[in-house]
This record gives sequence, structure tokens and C-alpha cells, in this order.
Amino acid sequence: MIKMQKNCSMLRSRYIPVLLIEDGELTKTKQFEEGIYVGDPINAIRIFNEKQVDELGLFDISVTKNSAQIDFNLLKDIAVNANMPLTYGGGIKTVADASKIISLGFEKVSISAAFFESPEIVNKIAAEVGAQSVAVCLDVKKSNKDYYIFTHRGTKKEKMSLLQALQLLEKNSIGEVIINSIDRDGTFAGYDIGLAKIVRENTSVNITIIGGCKDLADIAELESQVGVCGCAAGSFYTFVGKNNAVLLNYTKPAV
Amino acid sequence: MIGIINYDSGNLSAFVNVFKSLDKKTTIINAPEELKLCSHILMPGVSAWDTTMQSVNKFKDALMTCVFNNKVPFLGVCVGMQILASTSEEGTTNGLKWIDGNVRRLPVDRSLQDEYFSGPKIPHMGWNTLDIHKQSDLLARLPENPEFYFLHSYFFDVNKKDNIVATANHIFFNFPVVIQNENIFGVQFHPEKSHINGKLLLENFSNL
Repeated sequence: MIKMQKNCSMLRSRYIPVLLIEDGELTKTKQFEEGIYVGDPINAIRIFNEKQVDELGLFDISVTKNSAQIDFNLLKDIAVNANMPLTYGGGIKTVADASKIISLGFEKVSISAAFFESPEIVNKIAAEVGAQSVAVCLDVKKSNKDYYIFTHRGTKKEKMSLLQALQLLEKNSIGEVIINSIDRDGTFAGYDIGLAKIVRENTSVNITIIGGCKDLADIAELESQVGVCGCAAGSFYTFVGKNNAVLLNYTKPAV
Repeated sequence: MIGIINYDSGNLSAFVNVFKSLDKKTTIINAPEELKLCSHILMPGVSAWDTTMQSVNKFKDALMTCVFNNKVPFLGVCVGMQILASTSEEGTTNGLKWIDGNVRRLPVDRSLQDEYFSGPKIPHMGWNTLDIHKQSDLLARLPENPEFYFLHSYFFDVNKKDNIVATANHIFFNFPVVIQNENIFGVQFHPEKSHINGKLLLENFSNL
């Protein structure tokens, strides 16, 4: 490993709160089961603005599963109130959907179910908005030592294996792979480091890992195992104290 | 009045919000003739090269009058900076050719990446610090190595060293991220999404 000179320009990891939207309200799930209400999206945006977060992930988990429409009005209100980088995922099916979200002021769009229906959608979106703004999110569940991919809020198991999906993504124009561990979601059990390593070894684009983070030690462990990456968390940035009181908060490792 | 050019390419509200918090007046420019009202011109950018250039071309003549004849301060952000170049490897349309150079894809040196523990990747995504090489009013009051938010796969390969104000490093490669030619400025990062440092930079621009 090459030592970087100190005081020299260098990229660092991104520490990313992730908010889940369901029917216009913020929710927090545990292993993708029914979530609990944790607040209003616009209020949350204002709080994370003040806390100067590195980046914010917003996922509407009800759109694809309910065959509903993307709530563009809500996304517009969110973007107008945000002065931080934003990613949106949930129900994006077409180039027009993606372009509209980018034009509202989001930096990145995250594709999931649509990629498995027709993988070339990501290239079409990239041609319009640039590959750097296209992320693919994989919701992953472990079973008998193997990892499987789910869509539709964890209800639909995809045929493609994790490795097949990563290999296919290597051939497509994307900027980021977001890996969400369904098993660790909301459990505070720490990141699935084994999963993160598999993804890091098989991907040449940026990776963001979510699921299980309970504290800064978990983040440090993730970074020590996979290098500079996106360290995302839902519950860690949503709950405080042993009784899990809802209190949006933001801490990140000291530089 | 700071004119923000609207070419259907997003993130205008983020700029408007920052300037509003600074008590600076902004106007969204939808047609070339509206540019003559502006004391400052800002060109945002979240898009691919060709999409951006096709939209920019309709503003080109009016922009040249403001920037070259009337010396109105101009700031291009991300792709809005890259379009100041002659060409881009991301597309086929010609650029504005206001600053000498071409836009190229960030190089990926696999061997270095492996040694650097898999490490950072392309696109250059996230928070990076700047190495400042030249004094510029645009960077006044900022810390020595200010941190900004980046999101891009291409960089502006500037030909004249004189035009390079600051660089950043990604995977052992240094490239220009703040460029200037008199009243023409470009930044590769997103000041509108870079919290306090971005706010300072945009305030500096509005004070030019």
C-alpha cells in the first residue's frame, strides 16, 4: 500500500444518512419488515442540512412494490430545501423519470428493479444524465452462505446471482453500486463485511454499503476492510439511546 | 443580479438557496436576451457533455457579448466548467473554447489502484481537498486545503499553467479543479452542495 503524502489532496469516504419514504412519510424498517414512523421528510432535510452531512440517500420503498407513481412533488420540495448531495431511488423505470429527478436537483438516481427487467436502461439513463449520476442499488439477503438479490421491497427474488449482477454492471455505464443488506437492516449488528469485500473485489466503480451500522467503530471497520467508500446508515442516524428514541443525528469519523 | 442559466439541467434551486442566504439577488435565465440584465453569470451543470452543449449553444452569442465585451464575471460549475474547453472525450459537440484545453476521461491506473487497497474509483465521487497553486479572489477566505464535493468522470486538461488556480488528486493523478482566465472562472466540484466552503466561494464570486 502506497503511503499518501500528508496535506496532499485526497478523496475520503462519504458518510451518508439514508432515509426511507413510504406514502410520503419517513419510516425505518428492520430487515425490511413493516417500518415505524420516524418523521416528516422536509423537516429531516432541514436537520441534515444544518448538520452539513456529506450526502443524503432517499429511497421511496413503496413505489415499485405498490406499482405507484414517483412522488415528484415531494422530491421537488426535498431538493429545494437541500444544500447537500442527494441520491434518490424508488420506482425509476424510464430515462424520463431519471432526467426529471436530476433536473429537480438530485445528484444521483438509484436504479434497482428496472435494471433486472432490462439491464440496458442504466446505459440509456447514463447517456442522458452522465454515468457519474447513475447508481444501482442491490438489496441482498444471505442464504446458505450465498447472497441473493431482492427487489420490490424485498418481496421479489431475482434470478441473477450477486456475482452475475456485479459482472453485468461492470459492462454498463454506472458510477456507483449501493449494497443494502436485508439481513442487517435496522439490526445494529454491524456491516456485513464479507458482503462488502465481495462487492469491492468485483466492482470497479464506487461502492456504498448500508445495513447494520451501530456506531463509528463499525464505520472504521468497514473502511479498514474495503478502503475509501460510501458508509451509509439508516438507524444509526435516526435513533438515539438504548430505547431507540427517534432523534436525527450525524456524526462521522474525525479527519 | 446574478443570472443562473437554465438549460433544463438541474440543481438551480441549490444555487438560488445559497445566494438567498447571502442576501444576493438571482434570476433564472431562460432566454439569451435576459443575460444583459446580469452583473454575474453562473452556468450550472449536472448532465452529459452533448446534452449540455446542445442547450448552451443557443446562449452562446449573448454570452460572448457579456463575458468578452462587457467583462461580466462568469462561473461554470462541473460540466458548466468543462464546456469552456475545445472538445470532450464524453461527446462529439464542440465546446466554447474560452479556456485553452480539452476534456478527457480521468485515467484509471489499475496497478496503482490495486496497491492502494482497491481504494477510490471512477467516477471521482465525494469530498476531496484542493491544492491551491495561485491566488484568486474566488478562493478568498477559504482554508488552506478546502474540502469540496465532487462528482465527475471527466476532467479539464488545461493547456496553460497560468489558467490553473487549484488542483485535486485522485488515484495519484492531479488535475485542475479551479481554473481562471481573467473574468472567466470554472470549478469542477459543486459549490452549491459543499456547505460552508461552497457558500464562501459563491459569496466571493458574487463580490467580484
